[in-house]
Amino acid sequence: MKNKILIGLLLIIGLVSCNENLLDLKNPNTLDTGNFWKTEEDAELGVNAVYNMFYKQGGFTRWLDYSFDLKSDECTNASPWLELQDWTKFKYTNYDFSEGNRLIWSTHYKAIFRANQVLAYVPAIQFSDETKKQRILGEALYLRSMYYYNLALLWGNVPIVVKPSKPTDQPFNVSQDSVFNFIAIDLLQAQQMLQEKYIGDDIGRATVGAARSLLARVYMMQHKWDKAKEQLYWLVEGNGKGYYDLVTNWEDNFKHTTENNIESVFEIQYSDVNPGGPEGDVPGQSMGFQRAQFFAPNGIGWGEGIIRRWVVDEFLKEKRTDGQYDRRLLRTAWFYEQPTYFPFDNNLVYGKTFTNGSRWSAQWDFESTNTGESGHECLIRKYQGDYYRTFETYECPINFRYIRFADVLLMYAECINNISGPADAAKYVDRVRNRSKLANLSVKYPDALSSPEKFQQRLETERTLELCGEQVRWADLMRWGYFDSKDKMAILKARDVDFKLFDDVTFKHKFFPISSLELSANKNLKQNPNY
Amino acid sequence: MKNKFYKLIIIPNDHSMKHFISFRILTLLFSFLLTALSFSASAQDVKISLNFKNKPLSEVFNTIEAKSGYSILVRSNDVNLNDVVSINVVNKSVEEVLTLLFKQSKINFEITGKSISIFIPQKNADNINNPAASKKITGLVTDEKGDPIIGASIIENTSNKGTVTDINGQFSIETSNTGQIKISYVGYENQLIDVNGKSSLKINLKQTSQFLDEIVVVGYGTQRKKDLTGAVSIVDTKVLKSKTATTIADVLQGAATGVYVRGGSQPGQGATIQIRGIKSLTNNNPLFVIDGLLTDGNNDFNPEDIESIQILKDASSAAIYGSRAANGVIVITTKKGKEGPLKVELSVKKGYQTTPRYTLAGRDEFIRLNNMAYANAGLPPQDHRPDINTDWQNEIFQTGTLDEYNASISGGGKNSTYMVSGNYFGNKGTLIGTQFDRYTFRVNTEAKKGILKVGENLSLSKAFSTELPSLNPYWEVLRMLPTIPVYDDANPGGFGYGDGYRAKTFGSNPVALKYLQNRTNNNYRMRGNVYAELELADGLKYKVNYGLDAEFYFHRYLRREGTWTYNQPATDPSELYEPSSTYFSSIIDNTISYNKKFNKHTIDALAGITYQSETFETKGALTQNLLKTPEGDYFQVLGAGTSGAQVYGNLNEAKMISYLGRINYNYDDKYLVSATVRSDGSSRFKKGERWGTFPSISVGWRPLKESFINLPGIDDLKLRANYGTLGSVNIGCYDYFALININTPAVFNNTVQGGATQVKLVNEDIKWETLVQQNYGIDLALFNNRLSLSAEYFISDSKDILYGMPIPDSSGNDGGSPVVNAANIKNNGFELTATWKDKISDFNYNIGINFTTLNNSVVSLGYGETQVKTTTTLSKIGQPMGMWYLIKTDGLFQNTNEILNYKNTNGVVIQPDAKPGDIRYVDYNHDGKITDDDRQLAGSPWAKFEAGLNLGAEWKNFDLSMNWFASIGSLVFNAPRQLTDRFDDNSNYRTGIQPWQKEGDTGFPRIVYSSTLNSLVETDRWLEDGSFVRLKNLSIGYNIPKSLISRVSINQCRLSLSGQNLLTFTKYSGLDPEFSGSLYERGMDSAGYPNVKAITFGLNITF
Repeated sequence: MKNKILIGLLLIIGLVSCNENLLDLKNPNTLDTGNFWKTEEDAELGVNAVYNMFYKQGGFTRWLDYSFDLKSDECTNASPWLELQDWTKFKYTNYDFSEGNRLIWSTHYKAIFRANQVLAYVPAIQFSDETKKQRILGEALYLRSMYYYNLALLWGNVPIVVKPSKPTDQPFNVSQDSVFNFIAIDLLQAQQMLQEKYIGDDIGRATVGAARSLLARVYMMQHKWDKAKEQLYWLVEGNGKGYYDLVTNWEDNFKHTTENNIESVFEIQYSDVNPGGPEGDVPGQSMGFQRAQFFAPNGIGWGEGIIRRWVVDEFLKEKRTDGQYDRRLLRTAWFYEQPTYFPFDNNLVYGKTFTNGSRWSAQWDFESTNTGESGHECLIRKYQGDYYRTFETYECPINFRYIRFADVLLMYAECINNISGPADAAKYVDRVRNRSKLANLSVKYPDALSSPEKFQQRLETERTLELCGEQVRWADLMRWGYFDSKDKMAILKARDVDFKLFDDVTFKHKFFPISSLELSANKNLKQNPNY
Repeated sequence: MKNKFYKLIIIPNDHSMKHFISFRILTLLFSFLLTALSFSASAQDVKISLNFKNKPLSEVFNTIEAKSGYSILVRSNDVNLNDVVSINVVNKSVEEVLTLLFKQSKINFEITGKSISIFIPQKNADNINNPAASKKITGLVTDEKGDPIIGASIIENTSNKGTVTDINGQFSIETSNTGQIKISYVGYENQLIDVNGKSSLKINLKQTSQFLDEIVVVGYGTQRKKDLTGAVSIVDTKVLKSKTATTIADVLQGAATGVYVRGGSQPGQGATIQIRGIKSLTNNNPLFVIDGLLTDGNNDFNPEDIESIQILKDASSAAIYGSRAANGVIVITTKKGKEGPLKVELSVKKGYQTTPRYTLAGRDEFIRLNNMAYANAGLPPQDHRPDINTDWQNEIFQTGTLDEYNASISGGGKNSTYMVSGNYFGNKGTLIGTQFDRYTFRVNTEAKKGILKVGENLSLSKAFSTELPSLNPYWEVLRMLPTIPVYDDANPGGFGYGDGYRAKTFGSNPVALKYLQNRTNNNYRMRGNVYAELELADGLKYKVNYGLDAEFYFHRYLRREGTWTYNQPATDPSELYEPSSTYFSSIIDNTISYNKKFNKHTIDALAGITYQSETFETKGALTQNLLKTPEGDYFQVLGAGTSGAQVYGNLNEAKMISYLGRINYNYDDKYLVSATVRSDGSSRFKKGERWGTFPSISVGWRPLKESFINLPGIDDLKLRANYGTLGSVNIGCYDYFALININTPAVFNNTVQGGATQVKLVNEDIKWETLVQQNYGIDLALFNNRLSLSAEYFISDSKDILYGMPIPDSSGNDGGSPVVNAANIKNNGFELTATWKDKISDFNYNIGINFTTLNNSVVSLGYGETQVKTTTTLSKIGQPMGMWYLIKTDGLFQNTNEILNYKNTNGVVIQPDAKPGDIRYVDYNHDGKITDDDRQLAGSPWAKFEAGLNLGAEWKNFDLSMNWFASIGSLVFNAPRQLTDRFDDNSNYRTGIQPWQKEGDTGFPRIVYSSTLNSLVETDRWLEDGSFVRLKNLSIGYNIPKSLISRVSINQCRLSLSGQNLLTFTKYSGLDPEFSGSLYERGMDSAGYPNVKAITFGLNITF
């Protein structure tokens, strides 16, 4: 009988030759890390993937506008989604609110992970053209710096990750100042590797000027005025001077037909190539700017981007040399009395008639409901597509001008004023004012030239008029000390009721709380102070 | 007709020993076992001693078998095993014993090898002829259902003449006018009938309650239920007949202990089935084994084809399936043909369904409350449209219908059987636009010749189903206001929805969703296996089985132009998206089994190798801006797209090699031991981590068999214990590969350039997840087997659970957390089943109760973490999964003083912004503010226990069955109520809300538009007691008397009326307390498709 069992077993083994190699399967769908990062082409694909992060909701295409502008004193948030409103009004009940506190953080670190891969794997790749290799590494350094800069502004104390991550990594957070120092080292290196200018299909890649301008922003946050000035000098007065100027028509900075112009220092390149496309790393993904759909008036869009009235009033305080009102206001905001101040304009809102005196029109509910503003609301108009169409989509093609030369000039002026006072600084501000047909400061605001403090005060207004809604305000306020002084905070509280909840004792609200889910996943991470 | 088999096999009056015919599948399986109970010693070698006084023949046979090692085969039904005999022999050969035993009777015997066949020579029964004192009577023998019993034996008492019933259950016999006849059939109670001059008789036999002798299908074989040492639930197949079941899940609900079934009534939708709780974090679906094919149990399977269901719940019973079985195994056997002429069964069902509804405010109440909420926020009221009064529920809910047609034919000869069935099931849902249509077709055949047996089971199905739109209508119906019209020509597409100042809501028009988003699925499936079995030697069998599961799936999404919600870009183009996928799984099993009985020792051994290969391939294409027909609709083919064309495709493959073995040992039915081991190698792990070995051992003891134990009144008692290990590999095919994503392009100068990078992180060293389980059980039969009790206690430890455990976002990981051996979870529970069956004259009834408790706790988490949070729950070491973790509320502020006096220990006013009538929240961390950190444990989503009650009764031609289900003690989060009661954002409201208006008002807080003060999500305000008791099923049947239908050659005709979910007792205010949440938010009611009420009429005809 035993023999029979044996025979039976042998029979089974004979019939089924279960070779264990059958279990060796390769993924038939795509490359894995073992066979990528080998060629020049891989390197280029790899760095493009970092740029791809511009199309993610937690980055420039959607939520950064909320965190830098709507949260600031210049704007407010009228989202029907109250939790989203609370988030830009310092009311943080749920630290894990996805749109506000998790998505921006995670999107930034995703971009950093992609840049880290380029920086880790590209050096080993053989290139026929060493300049190209340097350029790719420089782009990765630049892009990584952009994201660390944002993280430092929004959360302050964040972890610095410099190598491709492993799931087991639990990095410590470091101080905001350390993050700035880290970025500075990268950007000094990047500007040695990047090109000054690109042609053809490389237009839009990071340049030396972009790296220097961003580095200047970082130094200015640290009040290292000399170092910042040195970086900006290259663009304004130095070897890079020939690449940059102000465009004649200020509005050209916010149109898709005049992108990558001489005023652009770095643009986030958007496209409407995939209308209605999905979010994420999938075929046919959306690659447009989503802000326009969110800020467009109700019925066209979500009507969420509201400009505070004091900004509009500031525009209306000064007329141009030709007696008209500052036309920058027309493209900065839609406001109630617009036809009064700009009677020559057709004053259409997405092709519909602007009705003065009552509701803007039966279709457009601009009236204040929950923004704390009395009277009529003013909507953000910058980067809206109404100049060429009567509707909005989630894929607006207009490039976002991350750094433009007007900003560089104003930053340069700020540095000089801090180093040597208003006398040398005024001409750079005038250059920006003159483009908008405004008289020189010495003519219009002679008192502003009387002291660095007064100049600073005027410069703050000039930055609002020129750059309102361009994601610079939060850094400006932080740099100017509004989040460190009870008196200065009082100014913000007066301008914007949203600051009512801003804690002017501990000033903890200058940073977001770190998500509790992130804290629970990383035991080395510390919550921001006083949360 | 269900058979309970006595130990011995019945063989019809066919003297050929080579072929014995079984009538039913269970007989067949049992016969395998019995054939195996053979012995190699020769007849002369064995001497046995017996001493019996007035014992049934069956007991004597049993003893002879046990002592001699011979198998006894009873070849005819006229041998009555209940006949009482006496014998006293010492040290005699089997032949001598039998000769002595049958000396006084008509019974003959033959010894062939190790088999003894027992029979009454046919001529003895048929040829006796004594016309002088006799007359001929005819009769029909049926079971309780009225089905004819084939092969029942009829014996005339005085003369011992006998016969058996034919395939129609008919018999005729010569008897004296005053005699008695005895009718007997194995598994049924004997009947003694006075002839009394009758010439035709109708005899109805009642089943004996020898439930412990059932044969159950376990992995790769069968076992007597009385020999089971693991936790196996056997679903009462009677339940199948009375329920209107669309899917296997419908059949299982409430039918067995430890089996959790939740799912709504969305047409064609699958349900959540969990056996003994959450053991894994990715997939808790049990393994389905249908006729030996490892598969799943989704909606393309026809429940009418089910013959039997066994649920293997613990490690030892499931161990033979190794890594596939950690979530339990549901073993399904489909119906097979039986020997006899063609039997046709037809059934028709027609049913109606209604959905539960919310009680919502009408227009006037809505406007009153909405204005109050605006006024409290200091805002002027909306410019409501007075001309509109839409009842959105009326717009989207309808009476659903069910239609089912089932036909089967079956039959067979001595050496082969067949069963063919066809089924159509159609269900129009209670929500507009929902539909399910299924066609299934099955062929099961088997044939034998000599030592070879071959067979196949094959099913084909086509299923059509609709999917819900991207936004859940059961949710959107709450968000739409009564002041919005259903249709509005001013909007693109022509549907009404919210409006900025007249009816502000971002709810979506569910009627528009139905029309503008059309999602359908067509699923074609071929599932079957072929097998061949060779009996190489007595008791030694070799079986090869090849199974194929092929599934073709076609999804279709048509997006029409138009908008369904306020602020939606009107520019989204029309779109057609058609992905299709192909799934192939092929399994080849080679098993060898050996059965041997040696005196009181029985050994049943099995060894085998199996190899499974799976491929899953998806291809899809999308086009936009579809060409329009002259009528204004779209050409609905991919070729009609004029822009935006995209294609997709990917392929996933997995393979597994397994070695398995099992030994069952039985000593005198007293001591039972079973040991199993399975070793699995999976391609889903990298080399070095691929192989997992999963052993188990179980033991059983029947104390009543011990001579020193005497427990009067107890008919059977068995104690069981086992310990085993199972594995799990519920992960993707390539989770250990770090992949490059090539869909990361970027725009430069308005030109799109390609990009590629690693997006998702991986853990390369992932290894098998294991489940270690102990199970302790007791089976008890009392009151002449009328009451049976089974109790189980189990402890299971899931270790190294494979799961995408959250990692820090600072890693930059995207596309889901990488799979890691992430957690250990412990489950323990108690299960009790009690069944009472009895008869009071012609009233048969049975009562079954099952009761389940389950506790689980997280033992450890991956990456050294201690907790996993969601917005509403916390899963923490030492706690059950997904405990509610919320800010607690503490009534309402009645006046300003109460607000100002509500301070923390440092005197900080905690809610300075509150006004009288607002909710008081508990400042759990005493920091003087209400923040995320004030969340605290707020209760458990786990039921304290679940229970089922099954009642059945039969009286004359009527039968009744009832199935109650209860789930007690869970706390659930009523998310729909959070929507209707919030008031900060516009939605429709529950009717009857009385908001706080003045001091002293209690209950409902002040209502304020656009203020989150009283609408915080993460608070315990939305928790409710989710306990419920529900009459899941009630059915009444009536068998039309044979006398009326036999003239038209119909054997049976049954009318039935059944109802589902007719009664529910609950305090829960949502639509349906019986729902399934997600893994971490188990008790979250997110307004899924609810269970509907249904009434179904049925007609069954057999001829």
